[in-house]
Amino acid sequence: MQIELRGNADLRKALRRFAPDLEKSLKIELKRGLAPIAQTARGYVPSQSPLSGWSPRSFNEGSFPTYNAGVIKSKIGFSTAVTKRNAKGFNSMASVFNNSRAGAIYESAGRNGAQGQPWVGPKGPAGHKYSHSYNPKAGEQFIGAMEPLTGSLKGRGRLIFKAWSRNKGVAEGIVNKAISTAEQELYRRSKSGALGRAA
Amino acid sequence: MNFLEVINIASKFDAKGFKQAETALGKLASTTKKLAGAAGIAYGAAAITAYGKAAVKAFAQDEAAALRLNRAVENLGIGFANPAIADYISKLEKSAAVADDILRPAFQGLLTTTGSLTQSQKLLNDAITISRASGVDLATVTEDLGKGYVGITKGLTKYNTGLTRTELQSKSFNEILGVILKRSAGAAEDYLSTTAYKFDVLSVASNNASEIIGGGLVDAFALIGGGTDATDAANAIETIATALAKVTVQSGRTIGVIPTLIKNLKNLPSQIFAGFAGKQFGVNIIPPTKKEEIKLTLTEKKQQELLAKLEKDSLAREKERLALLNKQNTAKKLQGVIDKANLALGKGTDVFDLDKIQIAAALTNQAEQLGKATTASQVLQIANDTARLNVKRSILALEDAIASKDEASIIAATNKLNADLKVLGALGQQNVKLLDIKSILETLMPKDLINLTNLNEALRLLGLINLAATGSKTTPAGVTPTAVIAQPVKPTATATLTPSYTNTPFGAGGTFNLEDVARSSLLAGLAGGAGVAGAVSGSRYAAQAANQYNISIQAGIGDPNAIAEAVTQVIQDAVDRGTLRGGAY
Repeated sequence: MQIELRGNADLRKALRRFAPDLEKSLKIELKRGLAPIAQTARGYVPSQSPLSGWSPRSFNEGSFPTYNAGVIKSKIGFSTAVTKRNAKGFNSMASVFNNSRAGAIYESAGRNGAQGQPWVGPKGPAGHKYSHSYNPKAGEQFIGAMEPLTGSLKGRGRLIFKAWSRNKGVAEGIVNKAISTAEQELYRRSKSGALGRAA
Repeated sequence: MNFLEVINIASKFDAKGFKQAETALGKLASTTKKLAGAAGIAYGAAAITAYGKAAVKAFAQDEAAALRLNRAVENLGIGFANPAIADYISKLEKSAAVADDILRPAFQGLLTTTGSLTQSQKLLNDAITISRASGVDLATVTEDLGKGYVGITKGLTKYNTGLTRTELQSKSFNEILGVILKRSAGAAEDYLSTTAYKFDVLSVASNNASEIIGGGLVDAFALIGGGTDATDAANAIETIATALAKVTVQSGRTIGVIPTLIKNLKNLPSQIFAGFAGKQFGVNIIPPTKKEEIKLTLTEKKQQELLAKLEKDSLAREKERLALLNKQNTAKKLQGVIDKANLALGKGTDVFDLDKIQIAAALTNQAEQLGKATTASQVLQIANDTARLNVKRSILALEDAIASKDEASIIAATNKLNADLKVLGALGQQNVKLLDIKSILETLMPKDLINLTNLNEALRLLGLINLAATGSKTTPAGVTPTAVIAQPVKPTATATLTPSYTNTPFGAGGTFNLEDVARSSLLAGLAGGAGVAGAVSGSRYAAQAANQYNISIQAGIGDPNAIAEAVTQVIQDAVDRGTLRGGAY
């Protein structure tokens, strides 16, 4: 039987249906590659807030999330599931994520420049693209208080991107090899007629 | 909101959803290839059409922008400067890697706003620097600078000037621009070394190529259509498109040459393309030689004069604008002062109450009748009343000042009213020290209606009246008749008046002293266990009661008019002295 697999979703679906053992092996291999990334990234989370004013407080003050190392660490992880297709039509076989609000802020602050967003003050134009702080240098001071961004082939950041950079492509190699092996094995079985639909 | 930071691994394009479109496109390409025959079409029909359309559109937009700018320059009376401006735009496009179809509208906007060629060029250069530094697109920056030039500085807040809104409104545009440029210094030079700049250069070159190719296509198709402008080109394209649907494979071979031709179009004069295409269609589409337009050119001196006049006019407009701005600011300031005064006036009117003033005046008189105030509460009450009167007086003064529209007077009157209101407010809270309100009391100069002196004087006059009428020698103690004696009643021969004045203290011992009455009442009240305030109040009433006169007139037979006049005179005298109380009159 000749089969044609288009994209990650088809491959995973085929593996799940016709070669569950291959899918299980693939997941194990993906985990072996990605788990160290997530673990290393958690290690980069500072135990204390980089800015004293960003620490948690007893009273409610706006919607800006306060820094909580425990929450940030707990929301860093990896996934071996196929992601949803993005707007440009791409999806991924696996991903490493940093999925907390404060974590995302710590990860990405300063990506658009060391000055932060353009300052317009409390009465300036509305929108998330501007700083509405009373302090015109709030963004600059916030970014300056943190460690510098670390660049990687996937982007710049302080947690998962830094971990990815330090990993030097080991995880990516494991993942790609595992996918390639699973795909080849699936094709081989299909040619030999050894595939049978799983229950 | 999604805050996910994620690293995607092993990403692939997912064709699901695109499959149907891909199939349809494949069918179309297949059909076109069949139509093109052996010559083959390297690009699909869709690709050629899309590129052609985009190129023509880019050319049309560029041409329209250039025409708009030309018209704007001509309207300013410096049409001769169009070539120089085009050259400036072209050079700026290459040096700053900003497309001319962005630069032209930006420059046009600045030119029409400032009315100055040099100022527009300077502002456009500044705008590029600011755009590079802030990341805001050039069109927005030029629009903001243009508005700022005429005094609307709100849009400049987004450039991290560090200036407050008030400072932005009060500072001149040049000062604000200086601040922004200081913060943006070096950004344009830095940008020249970035990869983004290199991409911009490529993008500009690519766009220009599209515009050139688009221009060639328009010319060629227009000539095929028998004209020279884009409308003819559009007609020709429609005709060709219709023909394409019907032509044979042979025609496909002919048209199939076009992509190769387009590739080399940049290096070929359009006449070659036109000649080639014309040959294919069997028509003569060699463009007619354009007649050189003969225009009257201005001498260099005249041009310089016109440019100088333009700059002069621009400066004059700027001066007028500043003068108008100053005038507006002055008017706003005066209005602000008047508003402030009206506010104070409103507050003053709220606290003023005529009834209270009248009652207060009566209380003040009573307090003075008793001599001097004996308790702090009385003093405070007097001070309150005085302060209210002062507020009223200040209100009237302020109303006059507002009517006169004299700023200094309004400010002074407002300050006075505010000060009075402040004192009144402090008194209302009873937090004021007695010594502090002494000055308020000193401003009050009431008429001394009843005190010991004028009371004795009244009694003396009454005694004289009594002597004149009855010959009685009973006079109050301490009263000595003076040489000047007013004759309140002038008896006539036919009238016999026997007025007798009785007063409670009189009757007994002939001694009368209101102070003694009040004092004795006060002491009695205190001895009886009454509070200080109650005892004071009681003493006041006792004195009032003691001050009442019972006038009985024994009138004999006489002239009724004379009697009536005598009675009226007596009562009037009592009123004048302020000693008449109750419902006797």
